[in-house]
Parts: sequence; C-alpha cells; structure tokens
Amino acid sequence: MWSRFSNPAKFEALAKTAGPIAFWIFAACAVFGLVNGLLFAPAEQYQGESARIMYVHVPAAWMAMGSYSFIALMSLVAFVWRHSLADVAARSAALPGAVFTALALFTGAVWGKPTWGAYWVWDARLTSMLLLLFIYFGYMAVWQAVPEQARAARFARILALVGFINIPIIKFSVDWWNSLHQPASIIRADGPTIDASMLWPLFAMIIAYTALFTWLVFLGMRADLARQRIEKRGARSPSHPVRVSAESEA
Amino acid sequence: MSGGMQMTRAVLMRDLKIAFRSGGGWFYALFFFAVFTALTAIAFGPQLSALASAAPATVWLAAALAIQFAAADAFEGDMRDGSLRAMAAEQGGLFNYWLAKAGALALTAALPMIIAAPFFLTMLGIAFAKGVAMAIILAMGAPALLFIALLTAALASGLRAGGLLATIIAAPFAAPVLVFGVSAARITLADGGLISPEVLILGALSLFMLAVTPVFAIAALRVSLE
Repeated sequence: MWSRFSNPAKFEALAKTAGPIAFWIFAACAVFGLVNGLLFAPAEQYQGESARIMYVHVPAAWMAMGSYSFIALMSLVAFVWRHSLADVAARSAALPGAVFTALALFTGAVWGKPTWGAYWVWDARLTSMLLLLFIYFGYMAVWQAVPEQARAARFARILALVGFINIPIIKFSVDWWNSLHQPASIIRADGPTIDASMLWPLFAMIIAYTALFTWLVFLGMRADLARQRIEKRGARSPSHPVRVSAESEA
Repeated sequence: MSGGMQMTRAVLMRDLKIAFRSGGGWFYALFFFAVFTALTAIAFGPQLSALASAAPATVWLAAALAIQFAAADAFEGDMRDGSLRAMAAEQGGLFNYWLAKAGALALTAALPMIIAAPFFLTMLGIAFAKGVAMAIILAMGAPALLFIALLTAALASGLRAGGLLATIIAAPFAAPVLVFGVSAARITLADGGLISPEVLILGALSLFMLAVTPVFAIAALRVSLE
C-alpha cells in the first residue's frame, strides 16, 4: 500500500481527492471548535476568559511536535526505502510545522501575560519549544542551501533524524535546567480535570489543526512535484510573456 | 583493522603536522577562547565578584563556540583536493578518517583550551584549585561539543554559507551540554565537590554523541562527495 502511492501519478490522484477532504474536515472542526470554545464553553475557574486561548494554543503545540515527528518518519522512510516522495512530504511539512511552533510560542506568550505576568518566561516548555523552532530553522535552511533537490534531500534526511534523536535529550536537559534555576511557581494552573464542555471544543480544534496540516502538506507536495516536472521538462517559466503574444499575433 | 588504524594514525599525524607547523593555526581555538573570555569580562564590568558568578557560563560558551568554529572547516581541505574521495573508497575508510579528525580536533582545539581554562578562570575571580576542577568538568563535556561540531561541519561541507549554518544547526544540540556543563561547574563552585549527577550526565552525553554522531557525519560526508 505504501509503495503504491510512491508513484507520483497515483499520488497526484490521491492528493487531489484527499486534500480537499482534509480541508473540509479542517473547516468544519475549526468552526465547531472555535464557536463552542470561544462563545459557549464556560470561562476557566482560575484564569477566566484568557484561558480560551487554549483552543488555539494547545493544538498548535501538539502539531509542532506532530509535524516534526512526521518529518522524521518521512526521512526514515526516505533513508531506508529511497522513496523520493517521502522527501517531498518531509519538506512540505517543514514550513507548516515551523509556523505551528511559532504560533504555539506566540499564543503562549499572549496567554502568559495575564497568567504569569510576563510575555516570556524561561519555562521548560517554552524553552524546549524555542529550541524545536531552531531545529526547524536549521532543517529548512539545509533545503535552501543546496540547489540540487536530490542532494538537498539527502542532507535534510540526516539532519531530520539526528534532530529527532536529540529532541528527548533537549527536553530532559531543559526540564533539569529550569528546575534548578526557577522555583516551580509557574506551573500552569489549569484545573484538576478539564470539563467535557471545554474538552469537546479542544478535541475538535486538535482534529482541525491536524486536518489543516494534512491539507497543507498535500498542497505543498503537489506544488513541489509540479515544479520538479517543469524542471525535468527543461521548460523555463515564461519570462517574456509580451514577446510570446506578439509572435502569436504575427 | 590494523590497516584501518594505520590510516587513522596517518591522517591524525598529518593533521597534527599541518596544525603545528609555523602558520598552522593550532592556537586559533585557544585565542578565540581567550578573546571571548576577555570580551565577556569587559562586557560584564571589572568587579571580580560579578565575574565569578558569570564564569561558568562564560567558559562553557567560549568552549562551545571555539570548538564549533575550529571544526567548521575540518573537511574543507580534504574535500577540495580529493583525498577524502580516495579515503571514502576504502572499506570503513570514512570511520577511520572521522576518528582521526576527532582526535586532531581534540588535541589542537579542545586540549589547549582545557589546560588554559584554570588560568583564564583565575582572571575571572575563581580560585585556581576550583578552576582546575572546572577544567576537568570541561574535559567531560568537551567531547560532546566536539562530536556535534564535527557532525554539523560534515553537514555544512556541501552547503553554501556552511559555517554560519553549521552553528545554527549545532545550537539546539549543544544546549543540553551547556545546561549540564554550567550547572556542574556551579555545583563545584558552591561546595567544591567534583562528582555530581550533572558531571555524570555530561559524561553520558559525550558517550551518547560518540555513539550517534559518527554514523550521521559519515553519511553526510558521503552525500557531500557526490
């Protein structure tokens, strides 16, 4: 089943149907989650209305890690089975993943101001998220730095896998570092359990973000494959459209 | 295997000869370490008490950056003149080559810094005996920094603007080493004990990097050769 879709033509067919489906799942779940989360779910007992940012923050943090796991998995597939499509998938996941990470950091900062009294604290979670963002930067920079796609892919695979191996160590070290330097005063005070009225919108938002990611990866992969086809054909992008139309008139 | 060891020794001796000949630049990492330490002192101000509290962080940052920059062009020369290609054709050649490069870097970049560290630490207001203890801690973690630097140098050897990119790539991986290195140094400064969990984790990080990075560095070198 796996290698069936490593054929670009078959993949194209899959992406054309699965992509829009993912988009509509995203749209439906996002509308349900946002309307319920922002309007109907009760305000949080300790943090009040500001806790509603949870509905955009938690799924972003979830997808920041999920996207990187996807990149690492695809890199492993590319490493072992030499499917070039897996490289394309990993590359297409990098930008959405970095944006999710940045979004998690940004919404975390906005949430941190009313809750902790500061936009940024060197909390273990924030710090490891920031380092994850740097890993994304390095990964994307490697793709940028090598002009030939096939060669860039092989460098990128190596970096993605090394990064994935190191993530637990970074997490562990940052936890250790924080426990040494700051008292445990800033552990989030989200109540003992989450009520179902808050859990359902949150759950919907997680599905929405995952579907958004899926859609974006399919889109990115199709764009990448199209570009590869153009490059293979040796055709250049029409840099002189005016001249072409003048010739056709003549 | 003996052939492999022979090759390792040959490359190592060659690298040492190149580094220690006049104009070879074995002292660049040491100079960087000295300059960085002095700049930190200038930036923090001359009070020795303030400098002493910043000393562990200063030493570890200086060491991490010096090793990173020293390793940045480790593969450049052999890549350019084709000798790396010849060594890659050998069975297991690249691993022996990697060993030699790690050894050369340890002897030319890391070791002079570790030996000099107690003297620089004295300038930062740390007692000499404590400085020696901090140098031993530095020796526990320096291999991890070195292996990370070699890996990123191998990745960057085929890339445009490789040096700067290598530093960006290395930063998240070096973070754990900095965390445990600095906290181990702080503990030594506070109560004088050398063996703390932090020091042991530092040693574990070095062993872990030794186990993990050569495979990926060699893979990256192979890609660079194509």
